[in-house]
Amino acid sequence: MPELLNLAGLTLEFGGVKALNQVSLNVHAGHIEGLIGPNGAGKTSLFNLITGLYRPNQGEILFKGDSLLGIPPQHIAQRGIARTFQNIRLFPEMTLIDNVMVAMHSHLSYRFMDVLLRSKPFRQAELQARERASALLDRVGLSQHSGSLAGTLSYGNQRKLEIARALAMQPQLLLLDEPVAGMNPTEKNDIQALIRSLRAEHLSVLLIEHDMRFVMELCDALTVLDFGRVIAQGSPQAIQENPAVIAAYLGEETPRAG
Amino acid sequence: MATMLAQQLLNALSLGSIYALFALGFTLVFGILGVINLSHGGLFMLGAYAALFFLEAHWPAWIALPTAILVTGLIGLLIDLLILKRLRRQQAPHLMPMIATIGTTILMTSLAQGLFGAESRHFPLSFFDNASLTLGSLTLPYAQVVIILIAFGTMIVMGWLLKKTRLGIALQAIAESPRAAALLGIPVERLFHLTSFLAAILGGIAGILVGLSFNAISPFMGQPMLHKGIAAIILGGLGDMRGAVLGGLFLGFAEVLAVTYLSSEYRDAFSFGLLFLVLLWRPQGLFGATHVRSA
Amino acid sequence: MNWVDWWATYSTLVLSVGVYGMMALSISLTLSCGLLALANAAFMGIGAYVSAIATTTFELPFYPALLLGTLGSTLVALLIGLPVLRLSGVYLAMATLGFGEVVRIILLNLDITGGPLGLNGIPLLTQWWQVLLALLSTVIVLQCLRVSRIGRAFEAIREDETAARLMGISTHPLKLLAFVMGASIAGLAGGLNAHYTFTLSPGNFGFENAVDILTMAVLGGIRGLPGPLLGGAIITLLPEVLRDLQEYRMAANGLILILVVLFLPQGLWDSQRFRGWFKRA
Repeated sequence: MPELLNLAGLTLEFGGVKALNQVSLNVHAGHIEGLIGPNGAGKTSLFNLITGLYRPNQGEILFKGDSLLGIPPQHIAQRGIARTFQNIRLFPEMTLIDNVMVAMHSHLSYRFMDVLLRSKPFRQAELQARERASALLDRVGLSQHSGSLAGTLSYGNQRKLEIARALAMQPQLLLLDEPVAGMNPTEKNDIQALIRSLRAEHLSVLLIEHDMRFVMELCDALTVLDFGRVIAQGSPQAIQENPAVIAAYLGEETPRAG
Repeated sequence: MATMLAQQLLNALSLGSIYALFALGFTLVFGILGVINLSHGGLFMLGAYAALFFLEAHWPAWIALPTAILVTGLIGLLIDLLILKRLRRQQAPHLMPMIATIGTTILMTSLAQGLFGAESRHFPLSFFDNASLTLGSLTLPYAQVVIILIAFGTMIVMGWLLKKTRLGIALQAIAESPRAAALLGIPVERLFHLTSFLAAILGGIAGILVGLSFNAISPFMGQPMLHKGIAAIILGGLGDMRGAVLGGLFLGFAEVLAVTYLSSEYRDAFSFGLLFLVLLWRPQGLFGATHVRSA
Repeated sequence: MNWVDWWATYSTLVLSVGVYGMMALSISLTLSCGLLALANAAFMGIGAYVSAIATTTFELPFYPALLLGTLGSTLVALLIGLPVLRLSGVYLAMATLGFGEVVRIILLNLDITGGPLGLNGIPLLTQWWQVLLALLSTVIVLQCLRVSRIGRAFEAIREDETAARLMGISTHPLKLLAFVMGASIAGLAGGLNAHYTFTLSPGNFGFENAVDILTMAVLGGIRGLPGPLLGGAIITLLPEVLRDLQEYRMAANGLILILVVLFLPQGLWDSQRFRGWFKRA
């Protein structure tokens, strides 16, 4: 099975404290991989490493066999990695449709002169982009809000919009940071169905989530982080029975139901 | 030749100490409140005019000058209470306090011009006019001596206040992170007010000192001083108190020496050229390693 | 008063409304992508001086002179934009203010710019329709940008630069584009301005002018193109309207700035607010 993303021995230090310690994990093409662990285990830091916001002190990140180290975030994004954020980072004063279209930036290839002359390539590209953006909003169930400002959406809808925006980048790998946090059960089911349909389209997903039922039902494989270290890796069943994982979670009471 | 150099260095020291005092207040607000307060130049001008007003009302200098300083401090506090506080509550972006304080500066300048006229004035203090100390071949005008003593005295008191007292430690905590400081039980909002008050006092003292030495009290005196203040705190590293003082002194020496040995026309060009280079090459400033609080 | 007299009295004012409308659009372009750059007055000065020197000292015709002025400020913007745009927030504001001072001081000290006296006897070549045409072209170009991927990216950078980069947007070239285009507009406005005011002096393009231009954009609002035009017109006409206040005229200016920042942070022309009114009605 080909590996799309390959993390090897990643260590990240903040002022001498190791936020991540020798973390290795692989995301297989067309798989949904889960990343779980107590709060502060370093899960979001790992996303920040992959997307180029942080640089690791040690280790290697390979995407489709090429190293991502030292590549700026915008170029990593252009290579096909899209993400959402634990603390939602939409463009709140832009409309929903514009939020989605922003993410198509690097796929719109018309030139500056085309913009000024409103030439045919420009108008066609814009029209197609708008249609595609509408389709994406439809897919996450937000098409009726497409002209509203992103900041006016409910919390759950903002998470959905983040997913639509990430999909607009036409990524090969989607990083979801707590995609169903704060959602009600119906919404969670919608997102689960959405992520499954993405897998059916051969998109690979790496997701962080605290809702164990959601993770166990959805993921093909799981990695468990605790204090910056990988303490277990394997299938959902194997993870559920792993004593180290149980100990880690018992240490911080019961896992958050979400 | 040696005498001339000594005289120039003395000039540089008195000019630089005023810049340093001004810059200290300016950077204090940036370090603690996290905003660029562009009304600092206006407060500096206000200090000079308030002193002029009380002196012309025939108050004795030892009452008139402290009263003027206090008035300046209170206006600084007022700006914080009426404007900056609201903007903090709205979590307005950086631009907003800058524009609002440009507004207060324009307002103050215009009022000063309307009330006192546009022409340059000086304090009615004959005491300072020509008197000087003579040390060997060196003449020390009283005004310069007083300026240097007051400026450094004030900066030493501020330094003690910020480094050695509980208040200073609380302010340092706020400079690190207002939110964390609030969690530690520090009355952040009250200390923001106090900081604005103290900074305005420093600006006011600088204004009075300029009034003592130069025949330079004018409604428009604030703006060139603000430019020097900006240059000084960028040279020193934004928000860094020690850096601001060094930056101010450095600017004073650089200007006096540039005028003496180059040409007076390029005095301002020198400081701003330098500032520009520093910004491109070392935006964190020349002196001291600053961390910038991410707002 | 008949038309000819009216125009003789007010033509400068009318042309200034147009020219400062362009200036307000110029700064709103950089503000709209989150750059607090305050060098627009300096770019206007470069455009004004270059084109005025071209028509006076070198006796060039008006259009090539305007072109030279625009190119001059564009080129300078390109040169300083590359390093300066690495800075952000207040650092950028300080650096661009510093640059403005450097330009003013250079203008003050060169022989070709007439030193502190400035330039006199600049031919009065600017026609009203030329200002109108320049203003309209600016509006059209900016409107085209707004509804393209470039305009959307500007807005995204303003709202959350990191998120914009993670969407695959290369922010640095776009910021440079906004900065340089802003400078071109300012340079053209400066060239037009020089050829109806007869004289130029370095003080016209200093800190106060920079602040005025910023005020126009903030007062009008930077969320659309009508805002800066409105702000430019108000700030240009205000001294005329407040003439009776004499030296307190500037006080009114200051007060307006404070009140707008506190109570209308989006400026006078806020399409979102207007939309809200219609929804409620």
